[in-house]
Amino acid sequence: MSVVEVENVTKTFATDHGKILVLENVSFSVGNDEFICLVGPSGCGKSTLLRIIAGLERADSGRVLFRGQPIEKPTPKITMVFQLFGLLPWKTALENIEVPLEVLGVPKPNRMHIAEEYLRMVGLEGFETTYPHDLSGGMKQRVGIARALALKPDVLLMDEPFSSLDELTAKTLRELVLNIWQNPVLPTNTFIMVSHNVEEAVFMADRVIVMSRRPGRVIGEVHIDLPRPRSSYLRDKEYFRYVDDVVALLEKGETATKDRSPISLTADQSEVSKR
Amino acid sequence: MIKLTGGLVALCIAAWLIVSIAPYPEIKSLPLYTVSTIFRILIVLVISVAWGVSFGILAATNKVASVILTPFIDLLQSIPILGYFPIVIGFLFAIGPLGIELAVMVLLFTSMAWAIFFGVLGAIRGIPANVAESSRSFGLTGWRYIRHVILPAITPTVVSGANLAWCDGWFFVIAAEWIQYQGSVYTPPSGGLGFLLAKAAYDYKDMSLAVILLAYITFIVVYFNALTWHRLMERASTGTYKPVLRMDLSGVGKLGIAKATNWLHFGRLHWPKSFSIVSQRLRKYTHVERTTAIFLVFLSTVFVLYIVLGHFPTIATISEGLSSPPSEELVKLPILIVFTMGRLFLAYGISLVAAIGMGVLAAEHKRFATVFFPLYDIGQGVPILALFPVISLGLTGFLGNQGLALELTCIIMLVLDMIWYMFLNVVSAVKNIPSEINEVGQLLGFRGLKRITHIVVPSILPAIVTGSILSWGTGWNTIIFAEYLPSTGSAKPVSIPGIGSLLDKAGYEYGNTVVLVLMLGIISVLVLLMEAFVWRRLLRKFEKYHVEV
Repeated sequence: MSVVEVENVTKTFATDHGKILVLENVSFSVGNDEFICLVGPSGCGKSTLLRIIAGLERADSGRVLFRGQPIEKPTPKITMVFQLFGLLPWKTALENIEVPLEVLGVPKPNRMHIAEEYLRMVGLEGFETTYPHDLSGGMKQRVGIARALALKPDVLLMDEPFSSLDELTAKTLRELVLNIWQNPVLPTNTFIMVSHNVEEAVFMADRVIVMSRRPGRVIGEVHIDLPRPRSSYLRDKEYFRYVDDVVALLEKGETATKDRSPISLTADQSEVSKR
Repeated sequence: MIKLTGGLVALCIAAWLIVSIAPYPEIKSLPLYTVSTIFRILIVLVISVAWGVSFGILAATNKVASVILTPFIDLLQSIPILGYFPIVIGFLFAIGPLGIELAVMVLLFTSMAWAIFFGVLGAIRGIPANVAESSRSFGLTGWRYIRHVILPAITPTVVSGANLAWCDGWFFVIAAEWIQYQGSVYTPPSGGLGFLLAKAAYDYKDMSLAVILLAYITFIVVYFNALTWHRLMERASTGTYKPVLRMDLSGVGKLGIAKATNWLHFGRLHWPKSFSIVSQRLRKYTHVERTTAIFLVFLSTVFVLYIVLGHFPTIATISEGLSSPPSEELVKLPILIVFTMGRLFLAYGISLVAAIGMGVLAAEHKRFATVFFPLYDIGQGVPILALFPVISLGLTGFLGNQGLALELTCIIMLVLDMIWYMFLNVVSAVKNIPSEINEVGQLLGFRGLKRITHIVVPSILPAIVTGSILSWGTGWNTIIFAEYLPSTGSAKPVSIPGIGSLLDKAGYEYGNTVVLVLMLGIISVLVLLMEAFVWRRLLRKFEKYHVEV
């Protein structure tokens, strides 16, 4: 059964120069235990889509369902990790994790205990009283991840979580996120990540959904059937074939936008298998 | 602790010395007056902070409130505050002695509250989008958002804004505690240092006592700055906030005061924010918002008139006002405008050149910084309005011509008032030039004057424009005060021709509300015209010079 269903979502933004169509008829569904990656050129509305799923934005038409219920505002069942971390600069690492728990009404001793536990899980033991200002980018993102997980959500959304980090840090954090996803103890097992890094997407996801240039539409998707852990496949021909498949779809999206002819999903899949 | 007690002891000794030396009866109450002025300013400070924070949050979070409040308060702020004096006074004096105290406090409020309001507004708008969004996604809404996000975000700005308001309060207390209205002088029953200073300068014409009192007041201001505000500022932003503008001014001088001021003004958020607010307001208001604001100002003016005159202004009252003195001077209105604008332009030109020179030197050479920053400290610390009677009296004795002396005093006052905004803005802009731009300049071989004209000045042009706007704002305020030397005991009031002095005459000598409001209207129109046709255009033009860091 699918956990998140995106149904015909369309979104326009009003600007000084008129309206801009950012998402057009986007539909897909995400199953339990799935790790989904949304890739597309910048400005294709993938971040907007993630915000609609998070309940931060409303779709103009269409809807997003979580376990059959439409999402209308942020819920603790779906939490988000932000590209620029979104930590409160005036709260310590521990307090940053505590605040959302406080909103849920968790009593003070409990929430401190939970926050400590999750901080330990992301490897930040000893940094409880450190302010974000004194943490490195990677450490800030660890706090961001701990904060999102501490609510024990069903779905974790990640908006380009590694793109403001250096490559080495990003690599470590990718492993951390994959370990969390595969950890059977944690209730959070449905991950939706936005990325513009194709190799990252192929490395992490079960399924890569490719979107076109604005207005964003789903061009196709690529199932990544590489066994996990995948770090040993990073130099493998098979890995690069998946990367090429995704890139080919992205390029297809470029030309498709020009003549605006819709591409059927099956056509894309035949394209993928032909290679 | 040593500083604290040492300062207090020094203050007590100074007070005792002044009391025992000066021969005038009023001086005996100096300790009492010191306390009463400090308390007066503190009370107004608390009110200003409460008002600024609550209205700032309201205007920043509520769309309707923002559309109505922001341009309205902005307009109130850009219209010279001193011009309101007589109107407010006329209404409150009717109440009696308590009314005078209230009037003094209202006047202080109008000079103190704006910095806090706009600081709060800027700090809330400056909350990074990712922080605001993530807070929303984790359920921080309503009161929780205010408590966890807004209040911590505005704290440093509120503290530095309160510090600024504190200084502004001392600046205006000299004018506020010695009010001339319809030919007589009103002072608050509880007295005050401003009253004492005015008495020494105007009534006793005792130059040395005036200077001593001025030094005494300056000491209090600077002493509080160095002690209280420095600490508050430090506590407000301990390690939690990434400074927007960080400047390396270490080694600027061993003066503790200088360091405290550096800390206050350069280390943290206040200045760049307030400047960006100015540019924001010139760029962002729509015509609808401006029109609403102007309409509201018009309405409130009519309302005040209604209260002051006891009934709605009718054609009869207006024509009566226009036919009684000093309306005969209205014929010369165009020439008066030219005179006043001329003084402002002259003072602005001097300030501009001096500030750019000093600012560039101070920003680039530590040696000059050690001279200019303490100078800036003292320049900011001295309540400039208090200098007015002192300079004017001194120059009259020196030149032997009252009119000429007042003319010169006016220009000096304006320069002293306008130069610091420019200086501060230039320094921060020069410090903020990205090192890449400087390196490109070096690689291309720009040196000396060429470097200044091709690299430095273009990079700081936007900052110069915003500094100019602030300078002109405070300049208009000062000129209303500085074109007119109130009557003293025996002598008649002295004035130099200008719209500022005409306003003063209408308000102080004749109580002619119609002419007063007319002058206020003219000044407001001039301020708005300058904004629309000079500053807004310049700002747009130089916007592309802005270097993104």
